[in-house]
Amino acid sequence: MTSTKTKRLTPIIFIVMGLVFAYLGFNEFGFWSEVDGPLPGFFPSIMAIVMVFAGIVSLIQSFKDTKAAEYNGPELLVVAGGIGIFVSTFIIGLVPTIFLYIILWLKLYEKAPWKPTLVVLGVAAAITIGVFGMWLGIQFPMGVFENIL
Amino acid sequence: MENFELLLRGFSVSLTPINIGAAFLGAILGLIVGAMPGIGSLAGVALLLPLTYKFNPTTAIIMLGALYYSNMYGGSFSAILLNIPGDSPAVMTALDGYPMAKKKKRPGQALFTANTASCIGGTIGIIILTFAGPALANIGLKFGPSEMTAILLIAMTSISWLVGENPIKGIVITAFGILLASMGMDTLSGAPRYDFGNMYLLGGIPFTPFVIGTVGFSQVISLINERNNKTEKIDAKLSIKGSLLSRRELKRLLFPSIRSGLLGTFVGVLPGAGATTGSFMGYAVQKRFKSEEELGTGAVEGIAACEAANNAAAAGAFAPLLALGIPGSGTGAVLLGGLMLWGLSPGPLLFQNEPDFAWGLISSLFLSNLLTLAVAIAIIPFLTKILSVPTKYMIPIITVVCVVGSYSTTYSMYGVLVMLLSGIFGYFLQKNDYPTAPMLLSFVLAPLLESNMRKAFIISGGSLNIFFTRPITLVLMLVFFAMILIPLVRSIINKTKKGKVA
Repeated sequence: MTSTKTKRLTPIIFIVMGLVFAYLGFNEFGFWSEVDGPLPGFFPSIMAIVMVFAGIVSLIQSFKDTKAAEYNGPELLVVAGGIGIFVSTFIIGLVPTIFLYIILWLKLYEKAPWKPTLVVLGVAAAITIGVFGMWLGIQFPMGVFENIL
Repeated sequence: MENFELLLRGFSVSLTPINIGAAFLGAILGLIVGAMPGIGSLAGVALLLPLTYKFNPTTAIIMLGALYYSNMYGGSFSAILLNIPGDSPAVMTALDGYPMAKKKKRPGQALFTANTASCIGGTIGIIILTFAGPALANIGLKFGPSEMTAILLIAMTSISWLVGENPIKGIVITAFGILLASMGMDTLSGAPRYDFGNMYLLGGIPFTPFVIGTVGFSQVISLINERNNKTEKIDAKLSIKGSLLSRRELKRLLFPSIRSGLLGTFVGVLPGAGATTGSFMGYAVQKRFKSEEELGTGAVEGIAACEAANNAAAAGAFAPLLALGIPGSGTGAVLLGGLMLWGLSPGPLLFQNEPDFAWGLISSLFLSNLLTLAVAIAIIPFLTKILSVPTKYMIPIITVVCVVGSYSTTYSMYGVLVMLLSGIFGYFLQKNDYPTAPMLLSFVLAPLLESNMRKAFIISGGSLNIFFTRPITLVLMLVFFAMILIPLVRSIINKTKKGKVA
């Protein structure tokens, strides 16, 4: 999957963001006071204006850029996997989610045999439970089980 | 002499069992992560950053320093054995390392050469750092807010400057990083700003999940395309005894290592010119000197020149980082962020206010250098196994480290959300040819730049003259403008030339 549009979309995002930050900087947080000098909006507003102008130049450049940005299905699957972990954590908790993610990823997507899948699970368990849980003492979220247990 | 005494005092801080253990752990993890093709030192340091939270600030930073340092060693392993550089400074190592390992069937000796040269180069870099760091800090003590503003502007443009092809994108992304950093509390008054009514944003964007996402998770997304790449199997069985160099080979690597060590340190001290530039320059300079074998055919001198230079540059980069608070690379920016997380402010006052910490860190680099060399040699027999782990199995493991690491730094799923969003956005930026390193650098430096700039304006009563009437500030501002204008002019000239050719 290729797209030339995102090369134009990216500078537009920066321009819009710059305009929002500049607007808020000037109007909400203040730019300059005769008594106190520069106010909280001073520095971000200047940077936002720099970003807007540089973004406009970048947008103009993007029309000359003929090389399209390529997006592959598998790349988006990694993103989906990350989002899946985030959502699932609220339901079954972080540690079970991680195990489920590894099994689903390796068995369904990579079609990996059980032996390496279990080795990867073991490594993930050592990192999650061993290093972060036991050594660093992190309490992981347990999802809906938090109220039950 | 005073520096030497302070260094000895630093050793009394670093040579405690817990600090040695932390440096040792950092060396092992850094080597393994650095050796993994496609991860690199930037993502490696970012992914391992949460592990340092277990320790007190000094121990944490000693571990972080060892991680950073050993990552440089690790990058050469896959370059030599698989012809896949673990990170960009190792690109040059592959030129001679791989032919020596493959054609000459001496992979162990190639690794040993790289490790020894790295240690020599690193030692030279750290010795120079011992003297240059405090000297730079002494100069820095004369700096007021206007000079610091100019220095920080130079630091921010330095990476964008080296990005090369499209300086406009460098400027956009630098400004973007600054705006992200401005979310949360105002640096001087503490007033909330750009929080959009969200209580999480009131605390700003948390540094560690942001970095893990931008360089770690976005890297995982890119790695998926390489998961089916077949790497050449290393058929040789490696052993420490079989990897030892002859006396003649040690002699051959000594002078290129010393020369590149000196050159690399100089390059490392310059803002923006990090280990990669050091490695390229070390190799280029070696070409002008006599080598027993032709460079590119598996010459000991070729491996030694670039490895010594990149490790020396990594050590040299600590001088501006500690003395002026200026990181020379994206990895340096992560390191600086790590220091700030611990409430330490690298800059001219660090050597005065926190001498135990500053000298403890410098002395720990000597320790890390030796520990890393020992570990790097000890793991030679296991490298074949470490490097033959297929990428498809690395992807879920790195994803898990990204998720758990982000959660552990914020104790909430907000950290995971920040990691995911910054990872997706980092991936999107990479796809559209926007470099992410300047964004990290500006994100880290923005609060310092803002507070210094505002203080300068308060002192001058709002006049811009303060940046052009003080001699040091004037010189620094001229350097800043040159760094902005040179790439722009160069890009316009290149385009004009291309237009004429077409």
